[in-house]
Amino acid sequence: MHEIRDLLEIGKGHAPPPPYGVDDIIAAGQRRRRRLLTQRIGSAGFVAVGLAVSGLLVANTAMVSANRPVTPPNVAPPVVAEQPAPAVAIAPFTFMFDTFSAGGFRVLPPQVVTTTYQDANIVADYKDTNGKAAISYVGTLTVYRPGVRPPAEFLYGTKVTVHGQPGFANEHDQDTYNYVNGGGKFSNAVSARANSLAWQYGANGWAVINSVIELPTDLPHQMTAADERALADAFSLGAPAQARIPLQAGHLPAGWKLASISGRSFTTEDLPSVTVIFAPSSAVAGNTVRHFADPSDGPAVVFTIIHQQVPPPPDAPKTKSTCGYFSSDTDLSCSWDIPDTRYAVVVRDPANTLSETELKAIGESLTFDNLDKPDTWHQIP
Amino acid sequence: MDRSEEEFRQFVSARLDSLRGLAYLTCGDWQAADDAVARSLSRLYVRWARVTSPERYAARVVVRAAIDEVRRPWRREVSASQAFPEVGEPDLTDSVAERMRVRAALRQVPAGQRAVLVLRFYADMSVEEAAEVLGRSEGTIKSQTMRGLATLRRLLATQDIALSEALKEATDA
Repeated sequence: MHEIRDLLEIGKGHAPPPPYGVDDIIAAGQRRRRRLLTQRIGSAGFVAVGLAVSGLLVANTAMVSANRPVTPPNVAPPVVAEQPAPAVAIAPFTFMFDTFSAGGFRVLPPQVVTTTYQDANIVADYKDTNGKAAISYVGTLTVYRPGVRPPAEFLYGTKVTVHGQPGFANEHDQDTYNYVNGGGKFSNAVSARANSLAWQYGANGWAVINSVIELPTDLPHQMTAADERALADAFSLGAPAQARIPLQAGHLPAGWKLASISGRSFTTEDLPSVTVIFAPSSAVAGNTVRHFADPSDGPAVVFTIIHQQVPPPPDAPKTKSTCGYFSSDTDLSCSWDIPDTRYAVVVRDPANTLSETELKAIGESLTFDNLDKPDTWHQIP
Repeated sequence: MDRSEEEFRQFVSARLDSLRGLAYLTCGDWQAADDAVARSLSRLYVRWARVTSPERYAARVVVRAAIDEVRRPWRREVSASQAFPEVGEPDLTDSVAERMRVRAALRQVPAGQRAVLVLRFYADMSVEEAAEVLGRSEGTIKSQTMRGLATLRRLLATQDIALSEALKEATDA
């Protein structure tokens, strides 16, 4: 007969050595303090470009590194185009490219789409130690809609031309969030070195490849500037594919609109969840790049549907929610098991502008399509 | 180095092991636990001068961060070598096998209930303290304690491990 305290000690077992020391924690705290100060100052040179969506997408925020200063992102005048840029039209929430490869790297189908950009992971294919095929996340390709300007830190550096159109290549420091490297190792809020290549794929339309090239931890696969260039050369727009969402919200704050979609099914190679974000229409309109899952982007409600490895027990209440503050002091979220499925939905309000009652009312108003049949989900008009 | 930073350094040195244990038991993955602790302590560093009860603050942010790690979709998909295993392996020595069976049971306790059990019985917190840490009512903590113990007792029974009946009293505390 065991006491629970003893059982918890047994379950904990012997801890592995911590991967950091007190000095590392203090350094991280100092970086965090600098970042907060930077945000408070509101310097235009440190525009948040975090792709803070659920999944494995690399998320970045430009900042002053603890040990290496960011190159001042003075926007240089673009080089002169060698040929007229083709006119391009991309509707909001429309995927405009598909998977393609160059060299040893592969761009996966884009998973994130908003009114201003779409975003795809770039991977390296390799065999793991058991000889099994695996992928290593090395970067992202972001295609901005015509008229949308990428964050300033991508628009400086060495002037290049891609398909006869102007662009910039540079190396910079960034904070990397929720990053999974090729070994499956997860990093969060660490300073990393990255390469970026920005070019105009059409009239007033920019694309950016960004890849981490140096982390404090191991990085088994990484792209060079030449690899990025090869992918840019291989990039082309394809047939438009309107995004779909698997849920409908019966209740939202007045005037809120669809703002962002992440994930196209639960069986894709890289993103095993679907996130749908609604935000005030004033925030969704216009050409300002926002990611909405970040509190600094203002009010939003974020729905994330996840596949549960362990299904709820048969006698589990079908409509009961669990609410709490999980990721921070101010980030309230509520979750529900979706009846008769192995899926659950998490509803959260990153900017903490909604009450728990309101968040529950929004969550309880949700209806879902057949989550296992993405081609039947609601198409965005 | 100013006095405040030296105090922070002493605090982290003294509490790091227990906070890592708290996070691990909450989320079941050492890598996720270490991420949660590192992130939480870096936040504590920023607020160090203003926090009146650093022990309570650290426990709160670590547990919340660890629960959040459990809920991250990619966490559910990444196979981490140091995560709670799904099943015990019968050919191991008794003590290791028992640990794996306990971990297998803990892994199946819902994250919210597991967090309550860890705070109440590992961190020795009262109902009131656990309620404050998790941002829930005391009634919720009591009911989660009761359900968590019942769930854990049932799961342990399938692993031929008995949990003390005396714990029933704790659910009323």
